[in-house]
Formats: sequence, structure tokens, C-alpha cells
Amino acid sequence: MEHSTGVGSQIPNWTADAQAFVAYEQERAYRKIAEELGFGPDAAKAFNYLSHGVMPASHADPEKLKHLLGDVWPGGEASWQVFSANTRQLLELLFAYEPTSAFEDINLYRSMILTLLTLAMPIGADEGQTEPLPLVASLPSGDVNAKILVEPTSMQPIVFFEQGLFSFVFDFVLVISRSLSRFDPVQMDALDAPSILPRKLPLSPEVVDFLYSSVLSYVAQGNPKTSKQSNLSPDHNLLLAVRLVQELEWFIMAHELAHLSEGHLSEAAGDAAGNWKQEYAADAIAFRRLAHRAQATSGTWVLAAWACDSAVLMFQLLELALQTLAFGNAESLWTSRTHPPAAYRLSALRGIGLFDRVPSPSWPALQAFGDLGSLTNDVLTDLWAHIEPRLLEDFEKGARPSPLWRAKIAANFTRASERRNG
Amino acid sequence: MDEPLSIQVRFQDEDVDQAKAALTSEGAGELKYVAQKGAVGIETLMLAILAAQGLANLLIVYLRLWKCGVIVDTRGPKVEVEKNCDIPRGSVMIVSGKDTRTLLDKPTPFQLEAMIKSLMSKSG
Repeated sequence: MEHSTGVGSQIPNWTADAQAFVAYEQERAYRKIAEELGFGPDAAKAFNYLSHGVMPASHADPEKLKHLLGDVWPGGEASWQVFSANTRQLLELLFAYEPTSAFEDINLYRSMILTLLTLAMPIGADEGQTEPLPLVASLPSGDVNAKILVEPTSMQPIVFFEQGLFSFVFDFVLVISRSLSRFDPVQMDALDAPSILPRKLPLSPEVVDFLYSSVLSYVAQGNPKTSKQSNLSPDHNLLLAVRLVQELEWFIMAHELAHLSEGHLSEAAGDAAGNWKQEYAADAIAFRRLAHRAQATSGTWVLAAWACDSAVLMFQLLELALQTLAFGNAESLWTSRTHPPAAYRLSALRGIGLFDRVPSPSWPALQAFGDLGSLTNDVLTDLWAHIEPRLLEDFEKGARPSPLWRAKIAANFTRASERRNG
Repeated sequence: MDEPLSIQVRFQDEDVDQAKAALTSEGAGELKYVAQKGAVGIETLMLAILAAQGLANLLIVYLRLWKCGVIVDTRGPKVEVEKNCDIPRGSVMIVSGKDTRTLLDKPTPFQLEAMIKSLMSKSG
């Protein structure tokens, strides 16, 4: 299996220790999934069952996106030519990358490389990522998470994205895109001036059913790849969906890179207050980076900032779902020593520090950011009002979170009655 | 079988220093704490080299500290020691060979050491 550093890239070479570490973690994860699927401890069987094969480069042809948009590029022909040329160049670079492990999903690996290389480039006031860049790898579980660690022998940093994260981001963005009226692509890049924002659409049973079945498959079944789901099309908001998926993944990667650049990984495990402070800091740094990069490339920071906000809202949705299926109607308290609850993280992103994190805090831009955040809040509040009763009903019938989540639930929540009883 | 074992310890929401101290007090060599951060909650991972007797004693300590069960997976090149609250508190489940699972309820260190050595010699 080749491991390529690509053309002119900053991706470091894989050491044998890092390769072995990643391969071990991936095989272990696939072995667990194999057991869930009834394959026994056959990791290779689970990998082959879940693998979609190698996505051909033609699948990512920018012409396909243009065709889906009605063969008219929103920014005009000149903008299309630039986009098309840049995309083709990037695809050529990306498809030179081969994974280093037999248990690596090549498509997700290349997607992570793309995300990392994008963030590594200096753009506008963002200096890009300083050396050394981490390695990247995917893990196959349904956990909606990413992590960064330092391989203890080679001391190479490695970012892992779980399959569940990719899928849940995708599902979440589909729901948001379908719940809003058409967001004019030209308006998306003009939010520093008074803009026409999308409005919330009437609640669609199709969207409610999709989100309910999606949440249930993540929380109760533990791996959406092993369960069947209906598809939801982004319809009139295809371009919004494409951009939001991209920005949400950038935010999560940038959050992990912030832990690296801020030295959080060279410190011993801290106390809860110290850990929470590091998480707020990583969110803020990621938010700032994406806002500045967006301002330089598209003329506005608002869409990128809204995407960061939406990423944390997505985590909040997952927390609510876990809480509901774990405890039903019983009150529970957040007790994580490593992370603040998503609701606090959202408040921090939207709070007074916002003025220091965005490149041009003009009144129209601030209002647009606030309005878009309120919009997604409202959409999810409405959807949750329909989904929560169904999850409670499932709870009453005995449905519980998958074993995948039990350690996380135990670490993050305590039944309120237990806390009061000491 | 007295060859040192390469072990990995995993848990969430427990005192890391206590878990490390337990490894050290059982004579763990090449102890490495894997520093990691996540977008949301994350587990703790530590690597070490330990003899079977030391591992048996370590499990007893972890059962007391974690107030849960512990799963010991001996199928791979490393012995995985993982906190698990789905099995009865105070019990150790040893996974070995071709997915054989042996549940020991409130075992003694002697029972654990004998079982670990027996299973490792069969798979070795």
C-alpha cells in the first residue's frame, strides 16, 4: 500500500509507528462492527461489507454540480471557469493520495486530506496551519466525533474523523437546507450588506420523518451505515447544502487543529475547568479562522460563521437525542469533565467575543449572522417538538441508546435524582 | 506464560492520575499516556508493558476504582483493558481465541492471573 505525500503538499510522511497505530485502531473498530453485524470478529468482512469502493474522479466532476444547478453557474461564466479549473487541479492532487492502512476508507481519507490542505493554506488574515500538519485517518464507528491525538512513539499528531460524523453532518445539513426557502447563491456572498435571507418553511412531514429516523439510527442502532435510511434531497438549496457540508467539516477539522497549535496535547490531563476552557478556545479559534478565510475568498464572513454555529447546534441535537433515549422524561444533568454542553458552546460563539473573532463586524453582517442563527434555532426547535415525543414513545417501549454511546452517556450525564441523593 | 504483555487501557470519565498510578505500582514498563482531544467527549488511552500477574492485580484495582466491570480482550497483538458498565459491577469479562467470552464475578488476583496465562498460552 503506497503512502503518498502528494504534490507540493505539507502532509508529513507516515512513520511505521503511526501507520501501525492507525491500522490497529481501525481494525479494532471494524472488529467491533463485525461483531454487531453477526460476522464474528472478522474485521475484514465488516470493512468489505461497509465499503462503497473507490469513488472515481469523474464522480466529482464540477460539471455535475453545474448541471444539478441547471447549467447556470450562480457567479457567472468567469467565476465558473475559475471554480472549474481550481476544482480539477485539486482533484488531480487528491487522487494521488492513497491510504496507508488496509482498513482505511479511501473516499473519506481523501475528503479529510482535502479539508486539511484547504485549512493549511494561508488565506487573507488567516495564516494557515503552521508545521507540522497532522496525519489524518477515518474510523468506522457511528460515533459523531472527531479527535486529535499524538501517537506516543513517533509523536506524530493524527486527526481521526468517525464515519458517523461525516454522515450526521450530511443528514443535518439536508434537514436545514430543506427547511428553508431558497437561499439565493448570490446573496450568500453578499451578507455584509442588507440581505434577503431565507425564511423558515412550513414543517414538512418528510423532513420530520427523515430527521427522526436519522437520529434514531445514530442513537439506538449506533451505526447508520449498517441500517437502512431514506434519502432526502436538498432540492432548491443544493448549493447551500454543498457549502454548509464543506464549512461544517472545516470547522470540526479547524477545532482539532486548534488543540494542536495551542499546545493542548502537550499538557497533562487537566481538571474540568481547564478542559472546558480549552474546548471554548478551540471553538473560538476555529470560528475566527473560518470567518477570516471566508471574508477573503467570498467577501463575507457570515455564511462561514453560521456554519460554525450550525455545527455546534448539530452537537446539541445529538445530546438531546442521547439524553431522551437514555433517560426518557427523567431529569438529567450534564457532568462531563472534558467538554461543556453544546448549549454553552453555542452561547460562547454567539457572545461578546464575537466582535474580536470576525473581520468586519458591520451591522448588516452581525444582523445577518444573528438572524441565520435564530432561523436554524427555530427550525430545530420545531423539528424537535415533533421528534421528542416519538423518541419518548420509543423509550417507553424499551428502546435505549446503542452500546456505542453508553460510556459517553455515563461520562456526560447524571440522573438528577442520583445527584441530589448524593 | 510469563512474557510481558503489551496492554492498552481505555476508559472515560475516571481519574487519569489514579489509573496511571495503578499501572506504575504494578510495575508497568514503557508507560505512555496518549494525549487526545475531541470535538465532543473523548476516552482516555494508555499503553504499557505488564506481566500477567501485574495485569491481574491491575484489574482488581480498576474494579475498585471504576465501580464497574472491566473487559479484557486478548485476541489481538495487544491486550485491551476497557472499563465497561454493561457487565456486572466487580466482574471481569475475558474475550479470547475466536471470540470466547469468560465472565468472572468478583475474581481474585490468583484466578485472574491463571485465566489470563491460560488463555494467552492457547492463543500464543
